[in-house]
Parts: sequence; structure tokens; C-alpha cells
Amino acid sequence: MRFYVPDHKLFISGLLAVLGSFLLSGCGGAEKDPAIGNGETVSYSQTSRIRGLDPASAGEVSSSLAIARIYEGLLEYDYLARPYKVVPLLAESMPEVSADGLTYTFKIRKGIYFQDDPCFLDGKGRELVAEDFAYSIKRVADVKNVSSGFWAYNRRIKGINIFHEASMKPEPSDYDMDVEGLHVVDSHTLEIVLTEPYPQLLYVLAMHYAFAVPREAVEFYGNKFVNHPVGTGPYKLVEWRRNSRIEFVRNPKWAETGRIETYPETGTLEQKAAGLLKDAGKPIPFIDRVVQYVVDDTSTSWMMFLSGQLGSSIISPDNWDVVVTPDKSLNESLEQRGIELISSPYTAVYYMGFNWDDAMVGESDDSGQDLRNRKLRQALSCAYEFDLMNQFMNNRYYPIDGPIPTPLAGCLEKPSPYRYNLDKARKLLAEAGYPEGIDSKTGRRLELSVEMGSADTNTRQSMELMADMFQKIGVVLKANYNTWPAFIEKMNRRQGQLFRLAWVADYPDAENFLQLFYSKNESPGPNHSNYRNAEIDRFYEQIRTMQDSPERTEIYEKMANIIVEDSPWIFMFQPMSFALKHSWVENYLPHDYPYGMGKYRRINSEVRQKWIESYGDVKLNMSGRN
Amino acid sequence: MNMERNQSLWGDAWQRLKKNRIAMACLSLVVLFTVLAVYGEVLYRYHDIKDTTPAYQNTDLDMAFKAPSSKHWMGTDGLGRDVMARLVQGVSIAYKVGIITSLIAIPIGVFFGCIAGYFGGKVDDFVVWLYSTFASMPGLLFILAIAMVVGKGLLGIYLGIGLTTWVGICRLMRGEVIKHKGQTYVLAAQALGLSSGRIIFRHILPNVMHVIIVTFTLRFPAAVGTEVFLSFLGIGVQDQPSWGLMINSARMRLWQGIWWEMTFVTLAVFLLVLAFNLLGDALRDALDPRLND
Amino acid sequence: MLKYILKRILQMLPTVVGVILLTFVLFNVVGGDLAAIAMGKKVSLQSMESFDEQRGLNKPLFFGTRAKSRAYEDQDFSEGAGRWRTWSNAVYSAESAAVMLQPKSAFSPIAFKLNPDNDFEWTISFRGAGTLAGRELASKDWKTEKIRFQGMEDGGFSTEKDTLEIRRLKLRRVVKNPFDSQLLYYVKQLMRGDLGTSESLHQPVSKLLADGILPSLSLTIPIFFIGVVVSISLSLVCAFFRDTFIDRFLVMFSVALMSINYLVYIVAGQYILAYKHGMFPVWGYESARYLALPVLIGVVSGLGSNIRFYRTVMLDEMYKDYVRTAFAKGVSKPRVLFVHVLKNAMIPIITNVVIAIPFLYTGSLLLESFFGIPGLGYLGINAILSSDIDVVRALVLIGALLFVVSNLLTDICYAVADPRVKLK
Repeated sequence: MRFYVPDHKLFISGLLAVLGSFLLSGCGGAEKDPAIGNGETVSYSQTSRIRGLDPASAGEVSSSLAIARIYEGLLEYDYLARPYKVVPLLAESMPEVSADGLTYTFKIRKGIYFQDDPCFLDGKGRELVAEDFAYSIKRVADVKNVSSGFWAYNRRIKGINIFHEASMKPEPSDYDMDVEGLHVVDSHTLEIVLTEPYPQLLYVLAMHYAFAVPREAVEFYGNKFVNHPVGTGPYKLVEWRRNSRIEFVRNPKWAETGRIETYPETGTLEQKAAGLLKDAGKPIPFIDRVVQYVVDDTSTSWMMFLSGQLGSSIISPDNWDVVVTPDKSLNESLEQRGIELISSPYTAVYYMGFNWDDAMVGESDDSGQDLRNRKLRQALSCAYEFDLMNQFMNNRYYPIDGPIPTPLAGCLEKPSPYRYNLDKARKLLAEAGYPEGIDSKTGRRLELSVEMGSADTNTRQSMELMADMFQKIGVVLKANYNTWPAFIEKMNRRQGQLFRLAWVADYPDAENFLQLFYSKNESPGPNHSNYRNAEIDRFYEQIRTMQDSPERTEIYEKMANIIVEDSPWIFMFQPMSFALKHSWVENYLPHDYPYGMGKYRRINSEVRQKWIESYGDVKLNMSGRN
Repeated sequence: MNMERNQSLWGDAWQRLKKNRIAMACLSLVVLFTVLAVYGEVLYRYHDIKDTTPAYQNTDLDMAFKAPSSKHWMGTDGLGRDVMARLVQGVSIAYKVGIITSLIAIPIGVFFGCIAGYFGGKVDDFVVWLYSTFASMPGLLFILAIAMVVGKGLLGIYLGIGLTTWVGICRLMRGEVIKHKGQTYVLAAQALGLSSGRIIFRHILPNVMHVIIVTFTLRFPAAVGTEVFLSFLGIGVQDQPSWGLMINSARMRLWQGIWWEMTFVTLAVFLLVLAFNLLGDALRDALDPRLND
Repeated sequence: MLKYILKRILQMLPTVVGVILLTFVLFNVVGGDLAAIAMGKKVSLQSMESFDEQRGLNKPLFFGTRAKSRAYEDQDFSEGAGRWRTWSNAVYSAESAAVMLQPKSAFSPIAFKLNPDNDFEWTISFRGAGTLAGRELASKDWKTEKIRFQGMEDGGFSTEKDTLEIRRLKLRRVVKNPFDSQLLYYVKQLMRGDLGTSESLHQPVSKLLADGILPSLSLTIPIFFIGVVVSISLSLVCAFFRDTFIDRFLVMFSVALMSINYLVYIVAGQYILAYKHGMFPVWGYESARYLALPVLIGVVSGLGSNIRFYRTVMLDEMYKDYVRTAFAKGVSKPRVLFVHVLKNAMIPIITNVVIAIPFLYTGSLLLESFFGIPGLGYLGINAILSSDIDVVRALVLIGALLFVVSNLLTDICYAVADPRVKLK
């Protein structure tokens, strides 16, 4: 799954599962829903609103989170285990892998049923079979579904490209066509045959591009299928008001068919101490009803959180300095109210990319010019002052020295040679042909322009800060603020000189970041710098099929070093995510791949009730400025 | 003859206005705001030409969120910028919006209104059709749609507000011109064989000028108000300190007890709009007691 | 009467045509590239072309014999090589702002297979020699030529021993029926009652409108009626105490209310009443309780101009003869006000009410988006922020049509109530 995250919006996005509980005490709505006492409310913001609930076509974080409440795949991430690992979900066990690493045999669990839905005969959900997975993967390969996930199977599963090409024809795609690599052995056995070893396959199978979708539903609802999810998961959709509110309730099919899933039983001592193992072995999900809102406004959602209308919240930069003390713990008056601060590092890279097509900062056919352009990029990297940016964003970033974020294998330990260093920046800039920022050819100041995908105050201010940094070596930086769709359009058309983007890990393997430098992934693929380097391409093709090994890590590091030297990006920072939650939200653990993890959470309604009743009396000045 | 008539009209109006103490207070407030607006604009142009950073854009993270003091009379904002300096720039943006939208709307409205009223017949039918089409458009949504289509920023606001508000002026002018058409001075001019354009713009227009002035005074605050919340919604001004943007960012910190930016900006908007509204009312009463709404 | 109504309906038609034309011009002519906005980034040019075709966006706007094709995007070589740089046999030079095809090369700049049923046309400015779409090109000096070919033919370049320099290149589809335009398509679509599909929400616009109308009305109707009742009462108070302190105070007060920005009401209401004092929920649309605060704000913010308006209406009535007669006959002041004046002022009041009805439908843009009420105003703001042109267009169009229709209804009501109107 590929997520493009504009700037600080990451913190607001549903990735952090901004969750809370929904206060209805004293409202007319309470009678309408008896399960209200155990509801959970998640709020998420504008850029990440849900676009559709079709596992094949969804592409953004918020849609993926909602999809993972309803649908399930063969595998999922373990909730507690770190480093992250995948465990069986709809598969009975981890697959059997053939000696050549090309055939994966999955035994599928018996007694798993889809939720009841009019699309089935007599409206009763039928049992899940192996064919469902083969069908669902074919849907991702079907050109007509405009899936954002075909990259996950492209040239990897045997015969999938034949299906892919056949689906380009104008007539309806033929799903009865056999795909060699998706072999249904019997009703509960699926064999996936690969064309070459695919070390990331198991991660990919935990993503929503491999979730089981019933063919009946797709055919019954046609192009409205995005609005009518039919899955096997812990929840089902009740109501979805776009741009506003989505509501799920516990899937009754689980109780009906006797399906029981349990909370993981093993965790670290630390997790145990934090109370995360209290529910070990108990049946999930704990929460009966989940309501998610689109709250565009950070100040509104903040007030909702403080008044108990939401159970958890992100911390917007505006609130940071009063909520969190300089030593990164929580302000006392919030702590007294039972609010907790949860922080975790986040596997993502924020960067400013150069467009390789651009004559000034990109590649040039003239080798001398090419070298000078590279020096210019390096100079700009040296001019970027991480500390200042970090101060602006309340010290919640980590510096990053290459394309691979920690904790992934292959991330560079030693500081990059192009870290902040003004003298070096000036020297490199002079060598690039712009002494003191003056273009020696024209005698005028060097002016660069950067494309931005949003125009809110924070983005704007952070760019003003960047412009200030470049100003110090005499370079003028002009920012163009676009709407997100307009920005994406520019990226696809390879327009723009510099641009600001982020990449969030799809799975815990540095390959996910290195593919961003593979020339065949250039725009409109994820390589928006349109970076081309034959050596990187060769290495990438080599590591594509390599299993995790010290040799592979060594190549990762080599690649990272080449990329740092070429500087197609200014590596800006790696974020740390911070969230607040009320005491009544339990089993709360940040997760880099949080899809489907909501089923482990618990709401302690007694604690919440007490808290809300005391809200009127204990008029806490939550600003911390008593 | 016309001149005299006009002079006495304006003279009378001024006499009446002078007696109205509230109106005079508003007038001085408007003059003050106008001076600030001109000052802000000059400052902006000066720094633009010199390519330097003006004081109201100077950031200083150490000075962020300081309460009003002798150094910063209205405190500082989140980037340590002086709220008062930004407020003054806000005046100049508000004026720009008020004036430019009027410069778009008034000529269109006056032109169409005059020709429709004067010529009648097919021309009138066409103008009535044109303005009833525009009048049917749902107000704010139409402004937003125009702003969306031409792009964010001040241009979108100018066009959005300008292209939707000419209708009222057009309707008013058409009515006035129809009234004047039958009067003797117009008939006399026609008898002298003057061209229609000359009659409309040299003879009738000066006589209905007061309608335009009153409309301008009353439309101005409405345009300012619209700009404030378009900018608030993120569709308006992008990189200048507009009042809408200031309210939006001040709102985020309000709960922490940082009241000054919010209070002063709100007060400024209130005073400007109030002054124009009251002045407009007084002008209307002074110039033409029959003219209401 | 019937004749009058028919006449008014006939008069309404040009306005309806005007409204349709205006929305078309605004969105189709001035608006952006729908396909790119709709489908985002990982989409082939071909699927964008088929998107255009589905929505009639690949047609000329009003009238024309040529239409653009996405198969080759016009490239201004003075700006850069664009896609040309990926073709190894084409050498780009920024100085001459041209590309040069090397000898003995062959390739096609057309991105996907063209529709075989259509004719296409290249317009090329070139120098040198080679072939394009099977036609020979040869010229020493810069020369512009048009080359027409069929969709099933190979539209690409080839060169033999010479180079071919290209300065400008355009690809156009030949339109068979020049009247088959986007405008015609739009009108036909409206005739079918099809308002299009929201690209960001993947739902038909008609469904979105149906979903949003109820929340909008549940907000605007209470605001409207409470507002009318409160302001009429206050305006009667003004009339009753005409030219006293109370009257003057109320007039000043309403001007002050008018001068406070809408935003301030919303921000202050949410912060003070909902958050600080916990009197209302901060945000949401779950039950009637959630509507109380937005309704309150809506009423208060509209109060100023309403009081002024109704006060004028009342005072106008009070100068009339019948009022003087009534007073002369010794009828008490309250009785004159509440029975005679109010009754006679009903006509302007009702007109004002009916005229306001179409505005109820779009709801309150700001209130809805601020308090998360999923009505049409909220839909509109979201659609504008995500450039969802179909939705915005439908909202504007329907708002305008409702206005036209309710104008018609007002006139008919008048005619029924007062037969003299017809004669005007």
C-alpha cells in the first residue's frame, strides 16, 4: 500500500488510530442504540477521509483502516510482537513453502463465514473458501478496478500478468480464467506459485490487497460495491455518511457460527506492566460499536477530546508546548485527569525531492553539468538545518541520514556527509556554479521553486523556514501551494522542480523505501523524483528476490550510500508520533501497521461514566495555565 | 444647471450629516481605517520592491505568544510576529477586497442598469434576463464555485464577490434611470440631439451618483465580511496577513488563554463593518430619505 | 388566471436556459481537468481518455471540428522535453527548443492505441526529412504541415538517413459532427435527470443530494422560523415604542449584531457555550441536542438584518391611512399594532419568507461545516475543497432552479391574492 502523506498531516491521519469514546449520556440517541455503553469513536481528519470500502481499489490510510474492520486476509500482524511479525488469521497456520521458495501452500480455516447480506442466496453468509482468495487477488489485477495495489503481484505471481492484460479488453473481465499461480487445490487449500522468490510476499498478504471478498457481493452490487462491504471480519458496516461519519457494529455472524478469536497471550514484560496483557486469551472484539468522524478542524477535535466526547486525540503543533513539557512528558493538569501520553517512533521518511527531469537540479546529458547539478543538490542538503525544523515542530522529529528509516535493516548508522554544514554548503554551491548563490552564467540569484501538496498554516510556516535556511547560502526558494489533487497531478506530469512528500512504510522491509529510487517506478509510479541510476536499478533487481540475510542488508546499505551521494532527496526527518488518550481507553498500543488492530481495544465504560459526570464539577483549566 | 443642483444636493446632505454625531464618529473611524490601509499598502509595496522582509512577517520563535506589552501593543502571534503590524496589513487587504470587488461590480452594474433603463425594449429584456440569471445563483456557493474555478487566492475572491454582487446595483440603477428618463432635463438633452451615451453618462449618471455612493458604502462591509470567511475556509488570501487567516490561527490557541490576537482582530472587523454600515445608513438618510433597502 | 400562469412560466424559461448556460460556462469552460482530479495519479492516459469519453469531456466545448486527445499531450519544447526524453532516438535541445530525431529511427509518440473508428490529425512544425503517420516530410527550412490519418493506422515517426527536427507537434481528433459538443452532452444529461457522479465520493450526485437535504433542512427550518418569529416580535416592539430610547437602542443593537462577523458567533459559541460551560455538544449530528447550538447561532446572527427589515415594513404600514383612521376612532395602540398593522404587513412578510425558501436548501455552509452537520452546505464545502466539480455544479444549478421556481410561485400567489397584479 502506498501512502503519500502531506507534511504534518500524518499526525492527524487515522494511522495513529485517534480513538475515543462517544458521549451520549443525556442525549436522545441513547435509547436508539443499546450498545452505546461500549462504543468507541475514532475521529480522523480531512485529508484522510474514507473514499471507498473496496479492498482492491482503496489506497489511503483511512480507507484501509475501515476496510480492515470488515474484511480479513490470510495473515495479519501480531498486535504485541516487536519487531513486527505476521501471524496466521484466516489461514490455519503459516504456509508451507517449497524448497525453491516459489510455492506457498495455505490451508484455510474451516467454519469462517461471511456476514449475512442480501447478495447471498436467502441472505445468509456462506462459508469462506480458497477460491475467494484467488478471486480477490484477480480483482486487484483487473485493470477495470483501477487498483492501486497491482504492484504487489505484478510479475510475481505466475500468470497474473496474462490475466491483467486480458482484462484490458473492453468486454467484462473473465474471472473464470485460470491463473497458474493462484491454484485452488481443494475448497480449503490455496497454492500461490511465484515466478521468482518474493521475500515480502507474506507482508503483502497481510495487506488489504489480499483480503477475501465474496464474488456474489461484487456481482450483486456492481459499481456500488465500494459502498456495500461484505466481509468475514469482527465488524460490519451500519451507516456511512460520507465526509462526516461512519458506524460499525460487532459482526453477529461470529457469535452465530461460534467463531472465537482471542487476544494474544505473549508479550514483553514491559507490555505486561503497562496492562496490555490483562485481556490475554479473552475473546475479541471487546467493543460493540465503533463510530468514526471526520473532524476537519484540529481545535474542534481537541475540544471534543478535552470534554470527553472523544477518547483519544493527536496533539496538534499548536497545542504541543502546553500539553507536553520540555522533557516530553505530559502536563500535570492533564495527567491528573487521567490522560496519558503515548509516543512511538514511526517508520516513515519525510523528504524534499528533486525532479530528475529538471535541467537545473536534475540529470543532465552533459557530464560536467550533471556533476554541477549534483553538487547543487548536495549543497542544498547541507543547507538544511534539521535542528531548526525540529524546534519549529516542537522537537518531535528524528534526524535521518539516508533513504531508509530506523528500525529497518539497512538504515545508515553514520551521519550523512551532507548533514547541516553551512561552510560545506557554500563551497559546494560555488563548485556547482553558483558562488554566493549567484548564477555565474546570468549574474542573477539562483531561484528554485518547490511544490507543496497542502496550504495550511503549518505547511506554509515550515516552508517559510526552509526558505530561510536556503537564504543563508544565497538561494531563493519559492513555494507553490497546491491542493492535494492538483499536487498529485503535477507529480504525475513530472512538473515541478522540488517537491515535498513523505513515504510511510507499507511493511517492515527497507525494500519498500528503496523501490522509490528504481527507475521503472518513475512517475506516475512512486519514484516521483524520476531518479535514474543504472547501478541502483541493477542492485534493486538483485535484492527483489533476496531473502532477509546479512548479504542483503549489505546491499541495502550500499544502495543507501549511493543515493545519499546522488542526493535526489533532501532527507528531512523521521517523525515520532504522539497521541493522548483518556484512562478509559484500554489495550492501546501504537502499531506501524494498525489495520485491523482496533479489535483488540477496550473501552472501560464505568471509568468513562465517572469521568464524564465529574466534568461539570471539576472545571479543570486544561490549558495548564492555572 | 445640473452642477448647481448637484452642489446643493451634496451640500444639503453634508449639512444633514454633520448634525448626526454617530455618523461623524463613523466617518472619522472610516478615515482612520483608510489611512491605515494606505499605510499598509505602501509598506507592502516598499518591501516588495526592495525585496526585504517587512516587520509584520518577521518571525522570532523566542517571542512567540507574548501578551500585550509596551513593545507589542497587541501582543505577538505563534511565530512571534507583532499582531498590531499584521492587523494593519489586514486593513489594507480588507480595503483591497472592498474596493476591487466594487470596481468589478459597480461598473458592470451601472453600465447594464443604465442602458437597460434608458433604452428599454430588447436591451432591457436582455439585461433583465442576464441579471435574473445571476440573481438566481445561490449566493455564497456561487462565490465559492467561482473561487474554486479560477484558483485560490485574492483573484478568486475578487472575481467571486465582484461577479455576484453587480446584480443589485444593476437593478437599482435601472429603476433610477427609468425614473429620470421622463424628466425634463433628459427630454431637453434629447431635443438638442445629444448622443445617447452622452445623455446617459454625462447627464443622468451624475444625478443618480448618490445611489452608487450609498450602495458602495453598504456593499463594502459585506465584501469585507465575505473575504474574512473565505480566507478562513482556506480559499482566500494565501500568504498575507488577512483577518480571516488571523482569526483562524488565533482560534487554535484560544483555549489556552491566548486571547489577544482573536480579540483585536475581531474588534477590528467589527469596528470597520459597523462604521461602514452606520455611515451608509446615515448617508442614505442624508442623500435621499426615500431610498431604503 | 391560467393564461397568466402560462405566461409567467414562459417568461421563466429564458432564465432557466441562462442558469444552465452559466453553470456550463463556469465549470466546463473555466474548470480544470476532471479526469486527473477524479482518478488521481496511478492511472494510464488511456483510462483518462475513456473517462473523458464516458462523460463527454473529449468533445469540443460548444462547437468544433477538432478535439484534443490524451494520446499525445502537446509539449512546448521551450519549456522542456517532457515525455520525449524517454525516447532514446530523440535528442532534445533547450537552445533551439526542439527535438531532433536521429537517422534510422522509428517510434510513436502516441501513448496508447487510438480509437480505430476515429480520424486524427497531426500538426507538425519541422525541418529535415522523415515520415509521420506514413506521410513523407521533407523540408530544408521550418515548415508546418497537417497530416490526417485513421485511428487504426500507425501514427508514429520514422527517419531514414536524415534527421528530422520538430519544433511543435499537436495531435487532434477529427470530430464527425461539429455540433456534438460538451454543451449538448450536458443538456442531454440534464434532460435525463442525471446530475453526474461525485468523483471523490464515488456516488451519484442525486443520492448525495437526497442524503443531505434532510440534515440541511433540520438546521435551516428552525433557524428560519424562530428567526422570523423573534425578529417580527422585536420589530413590533420597535414600532410600538417608535422614536423612543427602546426603539433607537434596538436599531443600534441590530446594526451591531449585523456587524459582528459570522465566524465570531461560531467560534465564540462553540468555545464558550459548548466547551467551557458544557451546555451543548462541541460537534456532531447525533440527536436534536446537537442542533441546538448551531440553530441558536444561526438565529442570533440573522437577527440584526431581520429586525431592520421588519421594522421598516411595520413603520411603512404605520404611516398608512387606515392606521390613522383607527387611532382617530380611539382603537388602542396594541390593538392597532397587533391586529391591523400585523395583518396588513403580512403580505411583505410572506413575500420575504417565500423568497428565502430556496436559500434554505443549500443550508448554512459555515454552520454545517463547522459543526459537522452532513447537509448540503457541508457537502458543498467539501466538494469545493476536493474539486468535485459535478457536485458543486449540481448544487449551484439546483439552488438556482429552486430560486426561479419559487419566484414563479410567489408571483402566482400574488396574482391569486390580488387580481390587479395581472394587469401590470
